[in-house]
Amino acid sequence: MAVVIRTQIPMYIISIIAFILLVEYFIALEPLAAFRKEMLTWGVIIYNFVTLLGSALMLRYHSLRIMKPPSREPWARYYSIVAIAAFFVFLGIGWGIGLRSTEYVTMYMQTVIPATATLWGLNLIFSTMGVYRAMRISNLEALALLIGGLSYFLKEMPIICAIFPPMTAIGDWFLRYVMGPAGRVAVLTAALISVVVCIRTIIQKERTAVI
Amino acid sequence: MAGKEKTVWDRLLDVPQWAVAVAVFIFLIIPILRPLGLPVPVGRPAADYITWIQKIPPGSNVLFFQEMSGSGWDEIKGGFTSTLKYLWSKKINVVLVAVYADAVPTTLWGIDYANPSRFGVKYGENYVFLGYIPGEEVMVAALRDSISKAVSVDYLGTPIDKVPLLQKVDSYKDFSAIIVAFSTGTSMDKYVRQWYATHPEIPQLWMTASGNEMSTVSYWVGGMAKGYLSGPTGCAAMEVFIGEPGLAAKITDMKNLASIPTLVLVAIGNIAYWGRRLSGRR
Amino acid sequence: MSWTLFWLGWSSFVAVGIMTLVWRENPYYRLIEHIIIGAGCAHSLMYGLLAVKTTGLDAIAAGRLQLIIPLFLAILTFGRMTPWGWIARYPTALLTAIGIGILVGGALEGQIVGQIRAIGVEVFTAKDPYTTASTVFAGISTLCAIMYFIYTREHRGVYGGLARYGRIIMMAGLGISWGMEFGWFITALGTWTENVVNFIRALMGIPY
Repeated sequence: MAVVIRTQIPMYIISIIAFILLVEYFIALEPLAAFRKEMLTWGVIIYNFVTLLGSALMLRYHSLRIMKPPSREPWARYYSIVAIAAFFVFLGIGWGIGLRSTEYVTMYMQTVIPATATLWGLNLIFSTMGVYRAMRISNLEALALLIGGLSYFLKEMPIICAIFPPMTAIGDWFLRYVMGPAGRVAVLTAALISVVVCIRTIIQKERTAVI
Repeated sequence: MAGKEKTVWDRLLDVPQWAVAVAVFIFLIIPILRPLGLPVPVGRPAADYITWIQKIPPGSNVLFFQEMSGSGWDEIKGGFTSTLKYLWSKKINVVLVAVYADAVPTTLWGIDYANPSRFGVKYGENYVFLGYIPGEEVMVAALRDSISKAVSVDYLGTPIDKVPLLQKVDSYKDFSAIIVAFSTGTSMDKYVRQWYATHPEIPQLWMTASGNEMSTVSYWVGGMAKGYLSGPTGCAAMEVFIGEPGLAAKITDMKNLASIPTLVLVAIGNIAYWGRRLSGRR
Repeated sequence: MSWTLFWLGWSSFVAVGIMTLVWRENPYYRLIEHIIIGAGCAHSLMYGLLAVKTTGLDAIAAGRLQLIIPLFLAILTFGRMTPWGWIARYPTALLTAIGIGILVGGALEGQIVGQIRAIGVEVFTAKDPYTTASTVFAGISTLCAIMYFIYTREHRGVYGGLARYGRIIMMAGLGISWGMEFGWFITALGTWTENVVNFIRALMGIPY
């Protein structure tokens, strides 16, 4: 009975509802279209709570770290205090002054954006070290990698395009006729795999959704 | 091996990370202190974007999905603001939606920067921001079918039946185009699946960070996207088109010199690799 | 001190904290990291709750009482934090079902059939010999790259040669993809390096 409630009923929910929505795509019937519109609204509401769960788990994790820091890292509790304090500062300003206020937007744009952007941008240094160590012309594939990379790289540099104007056209050619096929194969492969996994889930061969 | 003398090739293959970091920062700072101000190269995808945006009839409606925040915002903020300026200058109505919660502050910042009052457009009549609507692909599909069923108020909390623009638009039938500023390398898939697959007659114009271009190119070549702005170079092309180079053009300038350490290191690495390999054979 | 200078300084403080990671993980970096964790969490929570109100509660108050069902199911998501974690499978199952239902049709048309059709359309609508040659090259490259991913047949002889050509095209594509990412890194680091430089200029009274 426990297996039925915990596993089989959710799997049947997936199979039945997904099948109806799939049929609706191919057969234009008003009741099916109405069902799809209703399900989309339900999906928006449920999805929202999944994102709230992330916030709740984060609060729980850091609260526990404050009360009982890991023995190897006792100073971790102070970082968790900082995280919770930042949480309440943003909460206070967001709910106090308003989420759409200039103050909140400015605070967000000057705190979160610089941090995330800089963290991403540091990859410039690590990536430079990576290509220095790894981008060696040792075979045809490596040469193709280098030529492809340089074609885009040089196209994006205005100084190169000013010195050698055809660089833009060359870069565009590589983009359209070399990147195009490569990207197309990536899209096709990903889409085929997605469709196969979805159909396997509908016929209940794939149970990862309920584990 | 211990005691073995390093050859010149070994030294060239052993450039320390701190030296690379210093070189990168120096080459980033030089164009900041002395901008080069070179003309922005206009690639084909950006040219197509500009061609197709001009085909949107004045007075029509456009749905603008905004996903970008964080590290990618600096890449597309020039394109986002210049697109809004262009649409408002042609009195094209815009319905904006934030696909993620993080995209709300960036959207508000972008709207403020584009300065709608300069174009004589009014909130509620010429443009509306629906705020963050959760659901990602589910939400994109829901808005295609009916905005009024997916959301009940706009970002300001005004019921949508009291917003004049939303009395005129509700579903795909009411939009002449959709514009998407998407955030990851696979984000565009949902617009292809939910809008292009069912309504290929509605043109899609995209903008994104340059790193997300891999799959974007195949969709552009296939006609799913009519054109796209990629990174600050593409966005600078749009800024130049409207006659107001600014946010993106400045960033494009940085690319002139910041790439030099990488190019030099790739050359050094290959010269040293082959030098060591060929001298080892002798 | 003006608010502009304050925010310029604050954002520079945050950016420099992250930049110190190049040296190694350190308390300054971890401080900024945890500030961002707290800020991001608060932001998601506030917008999440607002979205619950606008998409759920307001609609129920307006008369769409059937939305009580997904609201109840959505609350079950928090079952993950309890000893009865299995109850979270119900909202997950519904969300998965909706996702699958709307994905498959669109993927078949837009991503599979659409992409294959585009190969033929490209070749037959080319207007001049240069474009025709380029599109034929792209079409052959696409087919060879697909051959590379077929693992049920051994890559030997002519087939192996074509699959290797496909692999070379994929590698060239990856190289272009690397170039694209690189540009993004330059933008991200460059923008906030400029911010730090402008803050220093502001402190020194130099216009920026």
